[in-house]
Amino acid sequence: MIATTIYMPRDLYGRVGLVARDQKKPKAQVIRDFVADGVAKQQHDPDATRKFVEALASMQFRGGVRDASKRHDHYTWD
Amino acid sequence: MTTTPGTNVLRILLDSDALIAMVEGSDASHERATEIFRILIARNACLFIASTTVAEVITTLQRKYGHRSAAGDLYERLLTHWVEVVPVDRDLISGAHAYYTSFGSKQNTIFDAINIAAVKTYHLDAIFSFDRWYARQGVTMVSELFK
Repeated sequence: MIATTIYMPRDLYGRVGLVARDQKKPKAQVIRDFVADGVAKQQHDPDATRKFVEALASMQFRGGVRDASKRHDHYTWD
Repeated sequence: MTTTPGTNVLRILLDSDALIAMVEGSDASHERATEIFRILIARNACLFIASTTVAEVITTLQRKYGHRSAAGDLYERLLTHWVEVVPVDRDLISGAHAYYTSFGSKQNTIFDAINIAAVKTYHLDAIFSFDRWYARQGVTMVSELFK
């Protein structure tokens, strides 16, 4: 992790403290969680999951291997 | 159901077996994988994958199926930004160490330990895997969210 310094309004900092107390988490973790949520929400293409799953479905093949997912380590390394 | 505080976005880490089950139509878990992916679309989930899992699953497809096309196809799809790739840096490897050293089994690998560390470090809601070992390590399985 990196260390950073941010400024925020005193009342917002107070509300962060209340959330931290309710969730029994350090304030720093509460702030990290909210920043992570905000970034994910900003960046998340609402159709991303559908596009990805459709792309996976389009490349589907039948290699005849019933246990490929369960024994993928064996198939990869042994 | 566990969601990220402040939003309703469900954040799910993909494991290699879920991806392999999805693309290998003959796999015993293929239908279940397809069903879960359909639910994840309906829930507008946000998908994550560890960078080590990218390397792992592409290597599996390349070695098992003897040619590079399936591996290359998946590689391209993982570069689309439709899935968030979790960087496996020093902190994550350090976080995985405790899980790795407590395994006592050769079945579960450093890739699995890194997945647990990724779920915990990034506060992800669950892992999409068919390996129940994760549940025994205290990680929520995606199937548990949709019971």
